[in-house]
Amino acid sequence: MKKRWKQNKALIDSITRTNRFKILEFLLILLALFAAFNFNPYDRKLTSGIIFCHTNPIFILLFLAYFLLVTLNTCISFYQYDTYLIRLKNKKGLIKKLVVIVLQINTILLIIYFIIYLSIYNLVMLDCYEQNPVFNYTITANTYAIYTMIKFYLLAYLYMIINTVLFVILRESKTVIVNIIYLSGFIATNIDKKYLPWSYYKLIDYHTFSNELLTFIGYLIIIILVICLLFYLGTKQKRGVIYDN
Amino acid sequence: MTIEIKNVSKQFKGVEVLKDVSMTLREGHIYGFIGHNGSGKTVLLKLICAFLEPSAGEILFDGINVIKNNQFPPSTRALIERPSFISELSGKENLELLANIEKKIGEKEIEEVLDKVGLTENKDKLYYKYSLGMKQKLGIAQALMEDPKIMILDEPMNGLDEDSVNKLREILLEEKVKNKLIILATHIKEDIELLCDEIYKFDDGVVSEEVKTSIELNRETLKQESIKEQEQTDIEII
Repeated sequence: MKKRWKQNKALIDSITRTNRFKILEFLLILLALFAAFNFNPYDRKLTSGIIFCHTNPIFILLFLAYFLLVTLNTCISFYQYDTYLIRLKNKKGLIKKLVVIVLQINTILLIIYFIIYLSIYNLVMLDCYEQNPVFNYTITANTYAIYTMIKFYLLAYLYMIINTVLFVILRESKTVIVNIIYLSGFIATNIDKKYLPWSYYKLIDYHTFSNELLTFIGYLIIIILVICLLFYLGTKQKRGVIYDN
Repeated sequence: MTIEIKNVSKQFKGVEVLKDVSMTLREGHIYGFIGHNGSGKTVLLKLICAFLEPSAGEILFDGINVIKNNQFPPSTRALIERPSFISELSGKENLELLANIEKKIGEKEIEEVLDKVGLTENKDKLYYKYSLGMKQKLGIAQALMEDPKIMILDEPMNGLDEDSVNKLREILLEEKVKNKLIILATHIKEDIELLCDEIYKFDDGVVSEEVKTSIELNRETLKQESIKEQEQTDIEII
């Protein structure tokens, strides 16, 4: 892993030093600020705020849209290095390399985001911990906040992988269209629907925590299957490797 | 290695830029692609590299359709349009990055290829500080290194001074002797006449094989002139 990171460092440096990327870094600061101030003003407890923010449809929409932009920017920049690409032998190698680079760049941004978000968030929130349960679950709000964070960032990473493979299959304009349709679902769908693709990000009562966990695991399996299917389509798609739309 | 291009056509948004192109390219030859800007030369080069997919027809490498197999062509290196390198790395580091993908060659071979194209003195200079000619030389270096069987060069003499052009011509003739298949798209008539065994003329997507006899005659004349010049220089030196 360390060796792979080192190998990709030069490419990552080159992609992240562009003016386009500087705009993305500025947007990241705005996103972190929005996240830090995105809490219920009547409940300024640390864990409640984390749950509120990470299940808020507007925040989810902005967060995913931001990482869609970063992913597309990385893919477009990477495709410019045709002297590099022709050495990757095949499309499978190309997709694997691209996914790794996208995840590495997005991880760097996520770390910066966390530093800004948590620093400001700690300043604006009053209380540290909350022992009250969420809904009628048998777990405390603290545990649920940790679960919410893990769930949210796990789904975000899978979303990045999906968009990378989608870029290889559809290129940027069609990937953006697919994402507009998907992301608009966060605003358009009814909060009571438990089994829609958008529901798993939101704060919905599944009666028991184990129910919620099982439902989420089921959703995760579906997403992983979708990624496998897209990966298969991407590697089997008989078209020019770089330029064709 | 043989490349068979069979009835290949390419359309972009309904506009046909290559029309029913067929040719067979064999190792140990240098092929020249000539034609005005927008005549379809670069598109065919990208098709050969599997960067683009033909709208019709197929391109076979030793009988294998690499696009259908979702592969890049085997043992192929290309310099198409402007070279794409990482600005913040030196010339040598850029080559090391590329060499790290297949791990066929080490530092010694990289130094050798840099020396071959005349970049040894500037190997540690950052790429963005390179002149146009130096960038072009680095592009040629990446196409030469790792001993590829096929080399695709789109206007490789762009930005090179006269000495470098002569040096590159020598290199290409050496590579041809090593049984490489070299495709050269160029505007420079002298390159075509001195280097190429077969010439394909591109005209609005239609490709025709040039009459070689006149070219060969020209080439012979140029060679003789070059020998005479050399002899005169030798006499002057003596």
